[in-house]
Amino acid sequence: MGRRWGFRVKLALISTVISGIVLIAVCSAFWVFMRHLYLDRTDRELADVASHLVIAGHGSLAGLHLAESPVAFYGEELHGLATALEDDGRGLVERSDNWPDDLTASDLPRSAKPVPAGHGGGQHVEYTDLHHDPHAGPPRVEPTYATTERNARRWRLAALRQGGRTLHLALDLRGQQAVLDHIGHVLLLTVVLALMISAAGGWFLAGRALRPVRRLTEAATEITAADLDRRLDPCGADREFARLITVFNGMLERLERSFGQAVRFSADASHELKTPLTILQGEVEAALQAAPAGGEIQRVLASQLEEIQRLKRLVRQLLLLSHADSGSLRPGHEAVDLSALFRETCEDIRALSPDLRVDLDLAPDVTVPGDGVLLRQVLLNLTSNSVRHNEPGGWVRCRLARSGDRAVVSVANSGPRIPSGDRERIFDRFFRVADSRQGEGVGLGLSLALEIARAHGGDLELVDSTDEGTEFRLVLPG
Amino acid sequence: MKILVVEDEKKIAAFVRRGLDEAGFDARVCHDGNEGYRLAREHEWDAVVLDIMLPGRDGLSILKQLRDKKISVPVILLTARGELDERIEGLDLGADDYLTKPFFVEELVARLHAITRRANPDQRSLLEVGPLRIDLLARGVQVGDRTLELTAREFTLLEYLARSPGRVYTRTQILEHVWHYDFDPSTNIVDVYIRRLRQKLEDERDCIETVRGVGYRLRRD
Repeated sequence: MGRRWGFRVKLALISTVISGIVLIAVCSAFWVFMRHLYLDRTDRELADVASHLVIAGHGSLAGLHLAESPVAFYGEELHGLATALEDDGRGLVERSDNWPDDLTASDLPRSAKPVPAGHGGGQHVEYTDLHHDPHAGPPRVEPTYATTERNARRWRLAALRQGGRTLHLALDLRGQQAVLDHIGHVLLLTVVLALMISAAGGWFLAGRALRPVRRLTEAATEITAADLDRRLDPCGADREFARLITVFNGMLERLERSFGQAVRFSADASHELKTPLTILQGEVEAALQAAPAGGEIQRVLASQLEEIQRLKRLVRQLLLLSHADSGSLRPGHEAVDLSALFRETCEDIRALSPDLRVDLDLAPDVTVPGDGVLLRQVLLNLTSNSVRHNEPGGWVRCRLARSGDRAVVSVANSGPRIPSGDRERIFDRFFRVADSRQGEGVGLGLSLALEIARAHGGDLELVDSTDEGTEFRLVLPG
Repeated sequence: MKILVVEDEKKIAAFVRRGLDEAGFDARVCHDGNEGYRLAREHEWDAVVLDIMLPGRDGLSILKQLRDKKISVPVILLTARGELDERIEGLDLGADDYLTKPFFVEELVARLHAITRRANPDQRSLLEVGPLRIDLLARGVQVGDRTLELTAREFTLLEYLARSPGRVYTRTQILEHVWHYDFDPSTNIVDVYIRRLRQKLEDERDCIETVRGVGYRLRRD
């Protein structure tokens, strides 16, 4: 089960299974007990009847004539009681009217009880005391019992043997079975109902138990880098969850602190790095203008300006990335004319590499809300990559289209395909494809482009890279 | 033209002042926010260059108070930190332009020309350098009586060189002004565009001079 089922379903299921096992065990035990109870009572009544018949036969079966014996007093439960007498070797010698035809002598139980010694001849049961003292109640008899089934009717049989004669009693168990069946049905219904209630209860309880977890999940989802100062209220939660919430809040606090440090770092680093760079560049620029035109000094200073430029670019990229990491890269919402921006950038492709075939398909007047400086950087990164990783006499294809409420920029180029192993990593920081021909840049361009796209609520992806060509797609919400 | 520069970093203030003076501006420097605000309010300026991080009172609040007092002097903000937010906030508060540190003084000069021209439309809208007549408003160039067909980038490049004829512009400076420093400095795109410009200038191609190993300049005559 695990993830596929969810904790709530699991809990409901487990509680149902457990209560199911318990209920079924209890009900089965109860039913078995009831059956036993009923049978026991039947047997006692049969024994009662037997003893009364013995009394009617003046203390022995030998003197018993069924036809003369009244059975009316046996009560309603014994309604349907059939009686028969069997003589050893002669079969059933006498049968009551309602004795079922399909019960023959061979079906009937034989008394296996040895007659207690000392009661004369081993065949005779002495009832004389009882016979002479009617106030002592019926004589004690111990019939042999059996249950048999004939033509879909169940019979409880009792056999009492005395002196070569056996009294057979047969009671139809239909009525009793009906009662037991009824009890069984009621029990089954109770179990099913109880299981349903238990499942529902488990579901409900699990839901209730999980409510704080759900609350926590929702809160955690809502918290972004922008509102890390939010905390969850542990009041009203159970002890276990209150602790979880406290721990969660503590984690948020540490996160907020470290994000705050990151934001402060990028701000401080901006200032601390840029101030000396500004001075350096400004003074070199001034010295360059003061130096003799075309002289050695001016050449050296120009080269230094170039290196300063490289540093500036690196610092800027790192700071933007650190802004992105701390969630503070939040572009504005000026309307940026993506068409114009892209057209300019594409013009540079033609200028930089006149031998490349440049195929433009730019929809006019596509504007997106965002930061023009940053978006230009993304476009420039894509186009300059398409030139840098191209082959002599190759092609570049730039497309800009509106798709629904989104702007879709696609830049494709010929050239060596990006090895499949590198595809995952091209957006990583400081990653450069191994066969990069020019040592240009430090490998921050694409990762920064991706961050900028995401900061605008869009995305940048490598669509495909085959021997045919490589295509990047930038999607921006319009 | 009188420019007030409010910048606490003394070395930066020094080369800015020197650069502005060389470009023909009359620059006054001050290193403190409160003092800067007082000067901006009490004197007439053609433009104010405001650093954002200042002792006393920061650049953004100076700008806000100036605008609250309906003082509409053109303002260029210098920002170092938090590029994005400050830029947006500054423009919202009514700054005319912004420059991100590190910046070239030459770039500041170009921006100052642009915003002061916006403030006084009839002033210096036509640059005449040798055979070139550059109309800054219509963004058109004439060589003698021939009109050049220039792309936006080509025009920006030529206009930048024409700001200070005789002054050497390095590739890096040109790159930053025309392409906004997104390019890697080792790119040869500047040379490509200079070649194109020269082709379009035909007989007058010599007016753009190459300073070997350094950059380019426009001849004065």
